[in-house]
Amino acid sequence: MSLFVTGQRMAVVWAGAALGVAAALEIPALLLLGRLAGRVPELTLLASGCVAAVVYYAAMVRVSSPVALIGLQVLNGWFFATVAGVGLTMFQRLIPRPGLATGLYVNTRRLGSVVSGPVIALGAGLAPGYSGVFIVCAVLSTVALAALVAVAARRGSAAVASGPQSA
Amino acid sequence: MEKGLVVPVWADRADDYLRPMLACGMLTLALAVLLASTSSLVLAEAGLLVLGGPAGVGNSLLFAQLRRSGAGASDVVNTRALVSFAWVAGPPLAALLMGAYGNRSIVLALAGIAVLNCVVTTAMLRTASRRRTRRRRPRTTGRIEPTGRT
Repeated sequence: MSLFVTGQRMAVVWAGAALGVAAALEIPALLLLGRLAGRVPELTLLASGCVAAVVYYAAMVRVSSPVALIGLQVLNGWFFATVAGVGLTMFQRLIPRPGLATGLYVNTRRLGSVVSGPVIALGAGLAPGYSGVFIVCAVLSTVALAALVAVAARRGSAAVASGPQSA
Repeated sequence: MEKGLVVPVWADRADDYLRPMLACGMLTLALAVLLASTSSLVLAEAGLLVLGGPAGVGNSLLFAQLRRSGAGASDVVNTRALVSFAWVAGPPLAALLMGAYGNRSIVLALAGIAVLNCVVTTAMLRTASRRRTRRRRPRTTGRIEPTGRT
């Protein structure tokens, strides 16, 4: 973020401000998700996070002012909150053993951190000023969104197929 | 990364997340004592690896215990919000302590948090064991059931 911000001719302090705002916004976003959990389907909440991520990363490619940089952190905060909150509860619901579910979720996030290194390297070579990193992230978020839509569609068709049989 | 899976899976088999959580708190305390008592980089690194690595699993165990105790999705997400708050508030608080009382003060703060962690986990263990005893004890209503009538 620091390299990207200075590359966009902004003061480096805005990198810290942006990361701080995103982390701080994650808390109210998680509290909101806590209220929505049980009322809104998990897949819908996760998909909303993916949409926020796609818009955030795509907009970051063109961002050139501190106001826009800070304003976009709302989307970043929502994305992180959905992954952190709904992702964890989804793992715990799908895997019956709570320890294994939570351990796998935490390790998956750590694996993501490891993979982020090559992603940054790949993105940095795509376009000048590190904006290529955000292009790669936008593409990866789009793939994640497509996967969620596919899962939702499969569940929908499975429900339709089992409906007449159970009736 | 392996410890992050081995300990929770072992806790699953034992159906006990609180005792490993208590062990994590004790390991954190041991790490704080080690960091306070040495200035050797090798020892500090070894301590972080051997004591700090397994101690980090406590976070996963907390969420596993929440799930086991029957907490709903909203309770889990709300607890995750508290963890996020700690992550946001931790670094500035640590910087404040280090600026005001010196670099070593953060080790003392770490030890204090570890002790608090152990006290809370012990209280949770006692509550869980009391509940288990209550469940095992046969119910006595005190009412004498009429017998011999057909």
